[in-house]
Amino acid sequence: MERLSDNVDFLGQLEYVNIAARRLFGGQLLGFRRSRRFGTGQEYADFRPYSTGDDIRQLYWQAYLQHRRLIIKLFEESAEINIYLLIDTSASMGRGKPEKLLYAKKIAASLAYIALGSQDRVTIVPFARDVDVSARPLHGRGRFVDVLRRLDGIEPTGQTDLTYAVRHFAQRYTRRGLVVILSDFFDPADYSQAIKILHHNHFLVTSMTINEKEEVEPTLRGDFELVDCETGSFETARMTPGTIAAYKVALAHHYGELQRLSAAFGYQTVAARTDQPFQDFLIDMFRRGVLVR
Amino acid sequence: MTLLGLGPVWVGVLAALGVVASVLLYLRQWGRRRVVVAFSPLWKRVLAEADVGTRRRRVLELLSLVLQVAVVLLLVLALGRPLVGRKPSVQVIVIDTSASMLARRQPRGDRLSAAKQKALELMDRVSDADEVALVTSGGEPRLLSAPTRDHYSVRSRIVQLEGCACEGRLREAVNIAHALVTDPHQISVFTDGDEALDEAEEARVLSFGKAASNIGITLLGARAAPANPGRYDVLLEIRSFAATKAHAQLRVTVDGQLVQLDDVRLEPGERKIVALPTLVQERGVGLLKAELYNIEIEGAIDALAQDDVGYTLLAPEAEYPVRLYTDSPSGRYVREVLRANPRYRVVDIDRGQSQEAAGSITVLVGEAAPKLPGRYLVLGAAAADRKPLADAMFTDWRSDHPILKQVSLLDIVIKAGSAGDAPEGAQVLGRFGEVPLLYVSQRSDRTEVGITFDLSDSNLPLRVAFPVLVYNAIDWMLGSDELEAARSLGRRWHIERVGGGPVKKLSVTGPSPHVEATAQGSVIVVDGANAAGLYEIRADDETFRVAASLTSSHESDLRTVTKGNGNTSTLPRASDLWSWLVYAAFGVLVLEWFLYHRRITS
Repeated sequence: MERLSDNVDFLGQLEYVNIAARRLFGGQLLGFRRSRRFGTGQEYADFRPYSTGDDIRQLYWQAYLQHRRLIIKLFEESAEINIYLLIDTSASMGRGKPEKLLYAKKIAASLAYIALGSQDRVTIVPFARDVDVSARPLHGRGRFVDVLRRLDGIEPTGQTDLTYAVRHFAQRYTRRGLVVILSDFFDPADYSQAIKILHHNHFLVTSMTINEKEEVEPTLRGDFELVDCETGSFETARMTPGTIAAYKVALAHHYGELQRLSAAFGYQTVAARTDQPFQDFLIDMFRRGVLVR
Repeated sequence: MTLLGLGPVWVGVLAALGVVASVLLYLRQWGRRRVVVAFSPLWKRVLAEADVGTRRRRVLELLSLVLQVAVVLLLVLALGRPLVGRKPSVQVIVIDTSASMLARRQPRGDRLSAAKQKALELMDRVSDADEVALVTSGGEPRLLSAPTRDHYSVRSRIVQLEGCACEGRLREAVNIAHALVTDPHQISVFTDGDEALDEAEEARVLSFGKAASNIGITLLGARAAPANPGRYDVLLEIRSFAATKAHAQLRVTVDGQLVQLDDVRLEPGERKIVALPTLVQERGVGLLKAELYNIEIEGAIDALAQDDVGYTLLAPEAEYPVRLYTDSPSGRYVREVLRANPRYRVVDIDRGQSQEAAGSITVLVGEAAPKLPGRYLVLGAAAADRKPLADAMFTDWRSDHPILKQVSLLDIVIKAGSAGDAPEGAQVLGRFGEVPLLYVSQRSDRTEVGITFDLSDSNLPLRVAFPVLVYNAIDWMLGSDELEAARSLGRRWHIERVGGGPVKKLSVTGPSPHVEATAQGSVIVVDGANAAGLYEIRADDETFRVAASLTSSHESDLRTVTKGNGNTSTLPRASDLWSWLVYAAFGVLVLEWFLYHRRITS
């Protein structure tokens, strides 16, 4: 599979996405959702009367001299977000041209680049049935190389079990934050359980379904033996326009659950197709407010 | 069923190959390709719902195979061109184009138009595999189209057929048809009826027209008065073939000069002979034209216009050289007989000169004719192997032959003598038992009429029949038409140039647009003269004038129409099925496509 760290073009595209993100929303993911906590930051935020126990270093002496009252200056605390990028590495993600996994990696790398640039913590969590919980959060743009290295180490294999993986993820990562799931959600089990677990553990969830064109608009016609790339099971099928139409309905119904959960839990969901350049997809996504508000 | 295209073996082989190919292709579709998909449970769910109609789809697939095989079989069978109904045959259409077929029918056209229409209807019933021949019987019977499958050309010829103001020779036309087919049922005759047509022919005879009234000129003749050169006696016969009284005016002209104008009143069926006063014609050959006009028939119309006019030539009597060689005592009878006929110029010749001079007849008495081309009348030729005769007489003779016209051989007796043999291939006209007494022998360039016994042994030279027999024989060899002042329309005329060699430049003009002349040695053949009038034939520096008229009581008599025995629908229709098979294959193909479409979209 193509290595992102060796791809100079990709790095250029990455910078292009970053610039676009800065122009669109200042380069901070979920900028409008950050907690308005007062702390030791540099940005001046508000005033309030002094109360016992307050740090006297925060006294606003000019105000005392003028009004003879003790006023405390409040500074905005610079809140950082934990961003967990859950990347589906099951065998089904290895399909397509370009591969869905590569597409997911590029999106993950882009989000990580933007997030590291705004001092957020980024954790790359590959999963199929099992989840790799060995990764530690990365902080600072200087760690982007580690992001790429980690992404390059991911290969598509195994079967998808999103619920199992998420359960392990929630147990391992207790710090709340934003969870971006990059997957085709081709889970034989009910993937909605995984979303519910994340929601129950107070994670902000954004799901990105990634499909190749053939999955969305199959062009097969005739008699075929369909072999599942993950399980190896096969089905004999006659591909007719009627069958294809029924498949499209079934696919829409399959992803309809994501939409329903999205409406119910207030998280965001977005669909990507690998025949669309990833940078275009991301910019379009940002414009629609996904991962911004 | 008959296969006109591929033979049964080929049809069988192709059908088998086609069926095998169809089945193999059908089985081929079961060989499914393997395709790896990302998420088969989704497909499984879809296919589980689609499988509800699997059995129905299998049935439809099997039905598709059956239909595809049916298409293949139909197309292969179409290649075989099956013909059902009857076997391909030769159908001969004989159309009577004689003058009576031109009789007007009110309010529609003439009988010929109806006959042509019916003939075209018959053409609709013949299949592409049938061969069709077309024969006409007006004037000279003609094979207009030899048996052919080019039905379009036959149809065109039928449509273009024109009537002829001439006598029909249906009998001979039917004979031509018989020569083309073996089964009389394959002959269809379209006529207004001909009594001479034997009903036992079993040919399909379709008759047209209804009885009609008519008056016409049935005879017109002129002869030079023997005693007064330059004067002519003219005999004219007008007949009524109407059931009511008729009235007409008669106008006779010579070279356009009116010589007679007369009212003619005719009772039903009356025959009126009009003898014109002696005409003087001093300016050479004159054209006499007799014409009926202002014809009124009570309660009817004059149905045939072609017989209302007649032409004849007031021509000087032709003189034909007759060369005579006699070494027998009976030769003097022959000489006297020949000299008594003013049309003959008798020239005595010596032995060794019997070879024919151009255009002449050679009469040999007691001398065998040479084996050279020519026309010979041999009376009692000397021969080595003669059969003795005693009290012999004609026991059998062909009275219908022109040579024996108005000749009675009843009282001819050969007391004692001998008779020679007839040449090989000769037609015996009269015989005593098995002994030929009178014969004619015809080859392409040699004609011989002969009496095998010595005239002096019999009483023949003393009988009235003798000069008639001699004249008939000479006239027959000359060609009877050549002595007529007017010739029959529609016939082929042979005009011999006396003393002339091959014709180099030849042309013919006349009222018929189709008339043409050809030269066969010294003989000029004129063909296609279908309209009454004067024809001029120019051969090199010679000009021959020929008057032609219908003058046929047989054609003018429109009172009866012989009932036919057939109908075009009696010809069984033979259907060539190949086009229907192709249509059926296309229909099955459409049905199969419909089923396939239903199958793949359901």
